[in-house]
Amino acid sequence: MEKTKKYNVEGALLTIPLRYDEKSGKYMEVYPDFINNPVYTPEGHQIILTLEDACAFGEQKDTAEPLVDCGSCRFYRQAPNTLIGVCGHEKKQKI
Amino acid sequence: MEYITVRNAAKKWNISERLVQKYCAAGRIEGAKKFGSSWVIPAGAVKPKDPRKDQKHPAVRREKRQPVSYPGLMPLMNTAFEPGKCTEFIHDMADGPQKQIALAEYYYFSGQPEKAVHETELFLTGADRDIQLSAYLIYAYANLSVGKIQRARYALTAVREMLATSTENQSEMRAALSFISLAAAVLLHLPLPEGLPPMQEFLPMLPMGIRMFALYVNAHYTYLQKDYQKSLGIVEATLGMQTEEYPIPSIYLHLVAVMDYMSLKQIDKARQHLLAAWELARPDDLIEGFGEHHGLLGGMLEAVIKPEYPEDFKRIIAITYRFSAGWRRIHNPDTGHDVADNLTTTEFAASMLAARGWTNKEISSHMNISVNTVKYHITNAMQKLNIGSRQDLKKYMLL
Repeated sequence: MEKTKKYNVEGALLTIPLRYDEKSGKYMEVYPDFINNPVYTPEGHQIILTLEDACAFGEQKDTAEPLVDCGSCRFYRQAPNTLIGVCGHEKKQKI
Repeated sequence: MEYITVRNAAKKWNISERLVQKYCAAGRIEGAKKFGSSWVIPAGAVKPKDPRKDQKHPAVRREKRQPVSYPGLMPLMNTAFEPGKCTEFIHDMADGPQKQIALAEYYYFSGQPEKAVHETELFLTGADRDIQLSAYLIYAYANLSVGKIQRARYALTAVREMLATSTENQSEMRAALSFISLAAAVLLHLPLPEGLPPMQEFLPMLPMGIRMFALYVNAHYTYLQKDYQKSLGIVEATLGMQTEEYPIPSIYLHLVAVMDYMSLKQIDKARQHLLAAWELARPDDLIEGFGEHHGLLGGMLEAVIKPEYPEDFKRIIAITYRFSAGWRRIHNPDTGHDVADNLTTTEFAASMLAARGWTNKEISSHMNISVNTVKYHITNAMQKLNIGSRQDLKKYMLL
């Protein structure tokens, strides 16, 4: 049976498959394509990976760091212990 | 006191009036007085001496520093052989230690470190210092690739100690020793050894091929200081000044140019240098340098070599794994910089570019893989390194 990990990200229930990596001896999360198959929280915010390229609505979280990905954007809220998070920008919210 | 005019003084001394005025203004004519807008000069004044002629020690040309002949110092590196004729050149050499060192170099630079170790072991305690130094350098790096870290450390320490204890009487050999010490430290990204003289002191004493490789080491060092333009200047000048093609140093110089251009995000120029290095290396299978520099080449091997030469690419990647595992076992504890050691080469290449601020789209286009594949590799790297932010990749990369 496939090993998975379950997350509740701001109300969105996600089941992420795991893959065993022999080189590091760790289970790795294998993320689905959240861009082409978007998933939203009940509030309508999009689930997104921290390393997605920054979009036109993005704004720097920290002035010392350039805005390169969602992880460096002030609208992004990362869930703990995973690379998944939520885009909090209202223009990207599904109404 | 009787005075004469500037014009008369100029006539008397056979110099221009303007110069006389200048001497007066500078106070070099005793008793000269300002008179209106000009000067008057005592009739008995003596013409000031030309200070240039007054020098007791005329300028002497500095002693010319001639390259010293080091027949046993990395003889293959120091030879302008025709690409494709490397083994033929070695075969034609007279039997003896020099030929064996050249053979060890060939084994090393063609990714056969076990054979390189075997060829050099005998010469670690030899009497010929240039043969011994070459043996130490090859032995150290070849042992990194075969995972014998203690042996690599032994050779590196021996070179450092030789440099620290060398005396002025050994100045000729000191140039060779300085070169070997510099190469041993910089290529492992370690601090420069104590007692290393400035490069301009020993560079002119090295023979051409070795001098070119020393300049590659210098360009690599400059790259590590993040001065990419200066590093490129060293590479371009060195390549431009060679009157014959020295394949081994030229390959390494082109590779450091790839590193520089990738850091400057000038991909077409990086590609040109990679292809130039490949043209020199492929006929003799001198692929070691490509494997050694993989992490710094910013995915260029995946972009250029992998599609056209998949079998060679696999061998290069095998070299990368062997060499980098040993390299990290010395570099990481010695510097405290924890370069990632559990990533695949593709994860490492993609993460290097991501850490430098490249977008997933740019990495995908450069490495000829889909954006989702880029994300797959980077998420794997981030999970293996236990980091939650792309910015944190920098701590584990070669930047």
